[in-house]
Amino acid sequence: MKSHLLLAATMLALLAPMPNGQTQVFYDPFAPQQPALSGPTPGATLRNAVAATQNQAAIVRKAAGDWGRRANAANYNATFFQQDFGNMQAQFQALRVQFNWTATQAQQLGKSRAQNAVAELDAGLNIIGELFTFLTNQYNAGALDRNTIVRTARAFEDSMQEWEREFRKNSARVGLAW
Amino acid sequence: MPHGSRHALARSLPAILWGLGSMAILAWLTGGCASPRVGSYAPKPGRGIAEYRALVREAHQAVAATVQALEALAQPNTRTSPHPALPGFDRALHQLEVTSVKSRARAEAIIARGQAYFDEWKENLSGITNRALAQAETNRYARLLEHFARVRQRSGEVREEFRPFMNKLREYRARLDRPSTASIPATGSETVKQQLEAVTASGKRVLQTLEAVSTALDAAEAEVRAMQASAPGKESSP
Repeated sequence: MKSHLLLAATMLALLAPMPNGQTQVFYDPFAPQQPALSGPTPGATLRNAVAATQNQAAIVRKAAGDWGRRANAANYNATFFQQDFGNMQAQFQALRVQFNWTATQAQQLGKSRAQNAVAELDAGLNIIGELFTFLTNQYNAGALDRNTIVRTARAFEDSMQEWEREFRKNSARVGLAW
Repeated sequence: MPHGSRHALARSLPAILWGLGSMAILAWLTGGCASPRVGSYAPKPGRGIAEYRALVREAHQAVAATVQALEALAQPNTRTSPHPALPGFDRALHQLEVTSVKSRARAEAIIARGQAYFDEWKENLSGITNRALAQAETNRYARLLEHFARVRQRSGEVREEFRPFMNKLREYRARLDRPSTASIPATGSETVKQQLEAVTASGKRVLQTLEAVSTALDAAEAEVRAMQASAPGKESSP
């Protein structure tokens, strides 16, 4: 009973309207991972995986942009931050899962160029992920303010844009997608 | 391995060294020498070095701009607040955040995979039956491996310096938004001024490590050019 109440309270908190009146859609980390659609050939499966990764990368970038705009609001507080941070982490984790799937498919092709591209993009995600560590440290030290959140969200958004560009370029270069 | 292919291999070795843009050659090495696409895939020797050099230059520019912005912030502020150099610093920091993702990712990928290229190359060397040629190729391999190891080691030093530099930059910038704490020592018992000095010094160390990579690249390029000049493939067509 207690756990049901806790769950209900958590769901209510997650669905609470944001400072600008928008309602967020949250990623459920416990939901089964949606596998990329398998195609009739390994190449088709890989193309599907690439497309799914691109979609998820766009979702992460957009989530970062929305986060930065919300954090600009004067009434943005610690509760909102925790929700946004959790959402962003979950979306980023979903991108990681999707990208890892794509990487596995690409590596099965046995193309060295693809493997190098995968290593590079993987390192890129690790580097972008450092921003989570920074925010966590600032938050734990009680030193996090709105301006820092806005700036970091912007860094997330623009870094993701750069990563997406590299992903597209590499996909085209190694013939993964088109 | 046919004689002509050995010559093609000798000319391709410098390109393999850097990994960037030379994956098709590696695929050729591991997949056998009969591929008719070798010639069309083979990048010009030394292109990888040029690409890596461009990467280092770009990183150097972004870090130098940030250090310059930090030095401007160290100038006495005649106005009240904020410091007039702050917008410039914000631009430099943001630019560094974004450009460093690509630069660091590429450098880390090279570090992670570089050794694998040389392992492949070494395996290929063991298949050469002509003793004199095998000796010559092994010497080339050893010389280029030495250069690669130096570039890799210095790239690793950049990585080790860069990450704490970025952390310090972000922390310093976050602290500037809390003017009430500016003169109070932070958790690390540093004043803002001391924090600025520390982050500037950290940035200068990053610049030095990047310059060391450039020096290693220069030496490697000189070696590659010397090898190209003396490669047996120069005298005959594959």
